[in-house]
Amino acid sequence: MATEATEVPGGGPEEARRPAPAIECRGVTRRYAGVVANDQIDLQVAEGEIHALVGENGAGKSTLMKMLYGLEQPDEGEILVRGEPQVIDSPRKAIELRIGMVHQHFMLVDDFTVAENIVLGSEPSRGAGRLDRESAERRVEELARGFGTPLDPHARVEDIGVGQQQRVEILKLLYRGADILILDEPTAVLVPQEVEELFDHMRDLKADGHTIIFIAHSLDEVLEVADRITVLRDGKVIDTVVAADTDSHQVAEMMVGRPVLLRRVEGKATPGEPMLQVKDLRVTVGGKERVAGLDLDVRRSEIYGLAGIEGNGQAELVEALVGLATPDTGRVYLDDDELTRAPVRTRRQAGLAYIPEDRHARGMVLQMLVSENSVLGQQEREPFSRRGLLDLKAIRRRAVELVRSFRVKAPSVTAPAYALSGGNQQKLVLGREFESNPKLLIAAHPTRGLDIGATQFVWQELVEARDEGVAVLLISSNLEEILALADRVGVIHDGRIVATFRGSEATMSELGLYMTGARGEEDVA
Amino acid sequence: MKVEEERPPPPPEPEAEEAAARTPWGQRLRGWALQLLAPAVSLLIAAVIGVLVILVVQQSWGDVADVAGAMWSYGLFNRNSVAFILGRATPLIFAGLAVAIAFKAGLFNIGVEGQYAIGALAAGYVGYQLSAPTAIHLPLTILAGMAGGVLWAAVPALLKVYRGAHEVISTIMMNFVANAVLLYLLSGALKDPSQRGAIAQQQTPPVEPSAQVGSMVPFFNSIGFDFRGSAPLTWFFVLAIVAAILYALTVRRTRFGFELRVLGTNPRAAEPSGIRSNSMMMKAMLLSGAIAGLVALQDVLGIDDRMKLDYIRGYGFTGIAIALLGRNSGLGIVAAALLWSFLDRASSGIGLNTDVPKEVTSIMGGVIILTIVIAYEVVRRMTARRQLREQHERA
Repeated sequence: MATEATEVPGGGPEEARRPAPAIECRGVTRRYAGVVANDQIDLQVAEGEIHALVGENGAGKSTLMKMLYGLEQPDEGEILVRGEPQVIDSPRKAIELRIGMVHQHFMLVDDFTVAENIVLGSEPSRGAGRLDRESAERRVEELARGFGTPLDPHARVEDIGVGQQQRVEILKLLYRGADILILDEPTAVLVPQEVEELFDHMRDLKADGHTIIFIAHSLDEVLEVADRITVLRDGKVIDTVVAADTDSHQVAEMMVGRPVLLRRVEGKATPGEPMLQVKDLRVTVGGKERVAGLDLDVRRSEIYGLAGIEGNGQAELVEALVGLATPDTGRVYLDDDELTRAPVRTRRQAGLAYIPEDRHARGMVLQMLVSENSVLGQQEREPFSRRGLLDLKAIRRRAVELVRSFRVKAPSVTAPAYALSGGNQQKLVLGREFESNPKLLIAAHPTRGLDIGATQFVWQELVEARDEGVAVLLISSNLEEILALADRVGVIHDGRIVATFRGSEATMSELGLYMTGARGEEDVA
Repeated sequence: MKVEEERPPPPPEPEAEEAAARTPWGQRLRGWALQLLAPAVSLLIAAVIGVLVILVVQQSWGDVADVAGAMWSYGLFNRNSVAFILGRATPLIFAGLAVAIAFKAGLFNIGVEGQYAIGALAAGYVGYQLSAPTAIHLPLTILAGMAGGVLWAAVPALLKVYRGAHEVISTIMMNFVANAVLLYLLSGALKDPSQRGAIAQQQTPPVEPSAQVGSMVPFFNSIGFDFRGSAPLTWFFVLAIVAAILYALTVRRTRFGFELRVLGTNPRAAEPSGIRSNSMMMKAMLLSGAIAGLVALQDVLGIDDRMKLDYIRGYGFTGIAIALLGRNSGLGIVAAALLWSFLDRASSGIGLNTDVPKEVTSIMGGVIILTIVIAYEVVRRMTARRQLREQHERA
């Protein structure tokens, strides 16, 4: 392996006496222009443990990880790696210390094969700069087998799934000899099955003596896989607890600083007449029928939760409903208007609000102002524009309202949207769609990437919208969310709704059976 | 659910709300200063490199002083300098605006060169072929010029929207076609019959007086200037300024401009926001062609009063530089065009009054473009860093 020549610091007889932690932070402080992002952080990560780092957006998790990986340097305090004080001033130094990091957004070359990606940067050479492909592939295969990860080294990265890509990222670190692995929100991009596989993989790595530090939002996941959990809030370490001795309520309370309850929200409203009706909808994308004769209706004052494993036609269904994809056959009605082939603008005018899954890319323009983003999609409405002319004052007023009522932290509404943190950008998009006075709200994974406090807030808003008479179509791969909010739950599998439940009667295990296709339409009584 | 207990700030006063809607003045001033910093620094660097070039070529500090003197006295303070600078800036303003409006929609219109060539030809043709009262003839001629530009921009626009052909390639190709069409018609069907023999000019017959645009010199002289009657400055300059103002208002204050900017900065957000990308790209490209059609009309209708092959002299490509230099803003483009025009004037001064080759100013022009790209990037990063810091301060 690439780092065989690297000396193991702290090795030797004295280590046997008292094993030094893999990573230790002593009073680490990092300030940005007078604001403390990390305040006197004391953290010990033991050799060979899975250590979870949790906290709300902006609690300082990322800053801390960046310092461990050499992307930032502490202003005060010291970092010890395997008992030795180290100055980690670059990722290169981190790799020399056998610390590796998998970023939330993968750093892979799509056109390259798995093997090429893994060896990239330290390729086995046949001399004269030629890549020794065979030996690369052989070594990658051995490595993958060694960690119980079947991976085809010849496959191109763009052809394999997200879970496999993540595997490639991890193998890349192992290939470079890393034994302290930092995983930044590794589960955010995975579907439930892949999460399980990842956790198995993490346990294997741990059994093999690797140390893993990971950041996650889902407390259940953290409790399932971590040995110890460190909670950060406002840049400070609140506590480090043993996972087996705690529960999600306790951790959530430490994170937020007050008691939180994420539980089923019972409705005050009773569902009315159908608002969205979909009949025998078929959508073909890339030669494959992704939505295959789907029927669906969502009623006024109802949250309809669409559960399903990602890739079963949810994305294509949403695109067809919003007007971004043209269906092959079928009909879509909103209230009394047929909108099957209507352009997006007509649908929005008819009362459609849409929270896209990929909010940064499809829901906003980062280079434009907060105020401009507050009316995106509603720019043709009065008072924001009249006879083609924008009313900048009205737009700013709307932005101020949104910023206030959705607690968006923004320097001013005339700042560019990229000046907002990720969570606040999300809140802006969510708020804009909630406040667009919709008849139908399509929310695709509305809480993905949000911390507990913000998730709670979004749930509350969804329920309020429902109580005000809005028909809500909630698409989520998070079953907890569906079970907590939905008045009715539909399970989508292979482009069709295979089962429908009352929200109060659905159970996670039953939904799971339909989601995986273990039970089909014919089984519904 | 209980989330309401901690709704932090009490409802702000109305004035506070208004204040929150506006950027604090200090912050705004800092922002503006940063914006001005980039062009200023690049001008400075360009000047330094210009000096170095002179020293290398002439190896004397005296020549540097001569050049500086010539640029100053001839470039700015010669009797006709101001008229020349304003007049020469006119086509550049149009060209810069044409490039910029396409760019706002995320399109690179490299075809302004061909579009104004066809526009000028169309205007020249309508100008000499038709005879009507000025009130009808002149607007019709100008519209013909714009229509020519639109026609030439429509081909790449259609190819882009319906076939996905990249506009950079197709607009460049259309430039070649325009050149060939021009040569063919100016030496054939539209040729000036008075031009015969070996020294025949490739040009149309003269434009009727009813389609001519007057010189602005009498106006300027009536308010105290003293330009020569021959100075190349017409009322098209005013039209160019009006176009720049309309452009700025369109981009900032209209829904069309809003949607254009959404499409240009994040095309993936356009469709979900109800913006039809194809139709917007089409409109932006045709508008770009229409503005491009105006580029050479000052020459055709105001200075020599006929369409000549000579009038096709790279304004379209300079327009790209102008748009870049002016950061696609109306005011910026006018300023950049004036600067470019000044350098052009100064280079004549250097040629006339010094021993230094006047190409020094061309070098400076090129260096300004290169340094400005770098300087803008540096300023962008500085701004981004500041934003990030403020974000942390709030967090």
